[in-house]
Amino acid sequence: MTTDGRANERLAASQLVGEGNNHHCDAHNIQLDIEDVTGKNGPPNCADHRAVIRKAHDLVILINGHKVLFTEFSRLTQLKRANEDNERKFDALIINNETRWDSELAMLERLVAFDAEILELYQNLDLGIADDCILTRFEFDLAYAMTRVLGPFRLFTKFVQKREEVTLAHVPHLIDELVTKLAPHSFDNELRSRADGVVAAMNIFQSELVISIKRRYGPMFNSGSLARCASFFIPGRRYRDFVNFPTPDEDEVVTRVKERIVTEAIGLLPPDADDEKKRRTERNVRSALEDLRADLNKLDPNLPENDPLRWIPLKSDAPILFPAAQMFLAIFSSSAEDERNFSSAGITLNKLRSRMAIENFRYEHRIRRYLTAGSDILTQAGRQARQERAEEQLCLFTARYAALPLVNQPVPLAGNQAAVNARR
Amino acid sequence: MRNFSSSFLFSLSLLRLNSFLRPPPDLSRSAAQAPLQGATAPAPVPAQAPIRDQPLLPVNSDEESASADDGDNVIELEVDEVLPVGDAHDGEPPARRRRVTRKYTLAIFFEQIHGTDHDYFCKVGCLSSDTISRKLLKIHNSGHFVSHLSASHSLLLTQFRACERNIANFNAILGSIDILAAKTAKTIENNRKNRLNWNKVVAQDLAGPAKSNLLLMMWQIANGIGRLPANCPIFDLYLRSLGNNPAANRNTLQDDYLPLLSSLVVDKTKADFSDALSVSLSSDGWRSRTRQDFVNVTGGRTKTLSDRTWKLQAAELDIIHISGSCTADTLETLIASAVEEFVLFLASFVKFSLMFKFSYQQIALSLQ
Repeated sequence: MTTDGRANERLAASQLVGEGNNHHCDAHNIQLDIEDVTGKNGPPNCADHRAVIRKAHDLVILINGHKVLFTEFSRLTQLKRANEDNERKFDALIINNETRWDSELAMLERLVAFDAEILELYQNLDLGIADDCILTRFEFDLAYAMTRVLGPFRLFTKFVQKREEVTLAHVPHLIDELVTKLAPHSFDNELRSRADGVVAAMNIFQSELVISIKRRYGPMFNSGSLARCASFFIPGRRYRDFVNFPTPDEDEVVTRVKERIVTEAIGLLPPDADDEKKRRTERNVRSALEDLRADLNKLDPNLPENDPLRWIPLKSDAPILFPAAQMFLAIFSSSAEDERNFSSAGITLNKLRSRMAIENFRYEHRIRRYLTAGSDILTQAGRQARQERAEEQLCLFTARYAALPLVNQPVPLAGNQAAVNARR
Repeated sequence: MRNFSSSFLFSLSLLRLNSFLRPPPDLSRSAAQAPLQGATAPAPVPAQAPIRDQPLLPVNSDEESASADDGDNVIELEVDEVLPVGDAHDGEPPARRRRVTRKYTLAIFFEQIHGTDHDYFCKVGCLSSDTISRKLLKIHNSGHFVSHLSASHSLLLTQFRACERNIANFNAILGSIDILAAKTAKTIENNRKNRLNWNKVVAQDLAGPAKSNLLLMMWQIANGIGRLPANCPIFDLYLRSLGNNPAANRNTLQDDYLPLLSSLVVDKTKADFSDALSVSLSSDGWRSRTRQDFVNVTGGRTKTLSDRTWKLQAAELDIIHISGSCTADTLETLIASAVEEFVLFLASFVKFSLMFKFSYQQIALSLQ
């Protein structure tokens, strides 16, 4: 069971599914790592970075919150969008928000992208922007460097948000890769032309991020966690021997992972299974696990045909592992699906319909999520999916009521003419 | 009935009595116009209600009681009239006169008596919600009677009261009532025919009005559109311009189709999760713009497709309103209740009491 970090939710999950079966949302977790460094209680040697973020925050509020400034800024940005074809199309400045993932990065990215326009505003004396509101050269270069360093975090967050794809199994090696990318001096070449002191400041920043990630994710690597168990079913050797999370007793961890898989596979047996059946199942699962892992090690993880959802079910000698594999691969690595549900709920319960009865809201929310989840109306595939789901509902309706005697058919379904009469 | 009649008894002074006492009321209509409640015994519909032109016959006490026995509910109009006594001489009116009281009835209700209970059906145009019978009115006192008249038939009530001031023709009112009653009976008969025809269509193909209403609901909900815009007259005009009927009433959509559609979605989700050996859960809290707290529960599973490959499925299980404090125990209870509705059995990964409801056959097949 996947939850975000709130204490009551984590406790409820522990009580519900048992300690060790709850997973902390990785998207939230990785944002906490950034918050550890850029937040109020961050390390003292990252004070410059926090000052830049705070100053950028104030600058965005200044521009977005004053009508004259905002109007002039909008005019300049429209001019920029019209003249520069290859420029990434940002619309406006946005503010960082602690409840929104990657919002610091989004804010800094836009400030960097609109630097020329902000300077033009500053040079317009009629607008009266104070000197201390504008980022200095060092601060601007530091902001730029932070956008480069925080970029890999966004990639990770985007990955764990994927819908209906295997994500948790890839989290261990993705975290390992993230730490590799954030290693001190890894961005030195890109930042060489920047102001003095930026490279040194960013190395400190990166090392603090790495420390935070290692502290938060260390237990996941050192135990038979859900993520390690899920990663046991992915191809290649990404399931063990991590570069940045070396475990002296890695073999022991892998053994614990196997034991947990075996335990869960036995747990999937009927509760009245006798001991002999359990022993037989355990023996077969252990044997099948070794064979499966040996075959998976030979596969290239980058090939689409080696996707565990396609490769494992076609493996004829491992059906006894299928229930356990299905269980671990289906675990959500993030609560992104819940966040999408809330986004949908906000549309259903919008400001014009805020007095809707709760029961009607539940009905509508459930229906809307069924119809629209993963079906983007701007794409042909999404439109097709939405149409198919609607037609599926009509088929269900037909199946439910066609078999009933006519006298039992619901009166309100008499159709439009009756409804029109009722309106009269 | 007598209670009502006593409440609607008007004293009318003798003022130009001949001006409104022309057509008489038909006092023998109750048998032909029984209430059309219930589909088993449709009442005969008068082809054309006669406009009577016989001399007016006042209702005496015997006729009033007979009317009550027939089940008619009436409003009585009592008129004080001065009549000449004796013969006229040489065109001169008789010198003596006497004062008499006459009563006239305004019957717009049918009455059915069940023991001590009385049911009243409006016969001048009010239909029940299913439009195949007259409207049943809950009348417990005379105030309800007046309320219905003033709300739905204000013209009749106004005309009736105008008789008190001697500026309306009472018999014209009775004629109007008969015409309205006949039209109502005809409408009900047509509606019953349409209903029967609709049922025949539904029996062959359900791609009828009900499906249209479901599609309308799905379109509204998927795009965050309220139900009121679908009843906008401009939208009606748009539909009519395409040759279609207007959209169904928004209250009908909300009260009948919304729960139906939700139950269909629930059935689909249950079917998707019915063969799952394990279900992963995800839960999070949310506060709406009206400061109401909700907890959302999402379920995920691995589904085996027809080509034997697997596909991950995520489905919204429920969004639950939290009215009190959001403690861990509360969350645990709410989430468990949401999951129990959908998941028939769970693997040991999710340790519910429900986990023992295994489908042994399916497990045996999957473990072979």
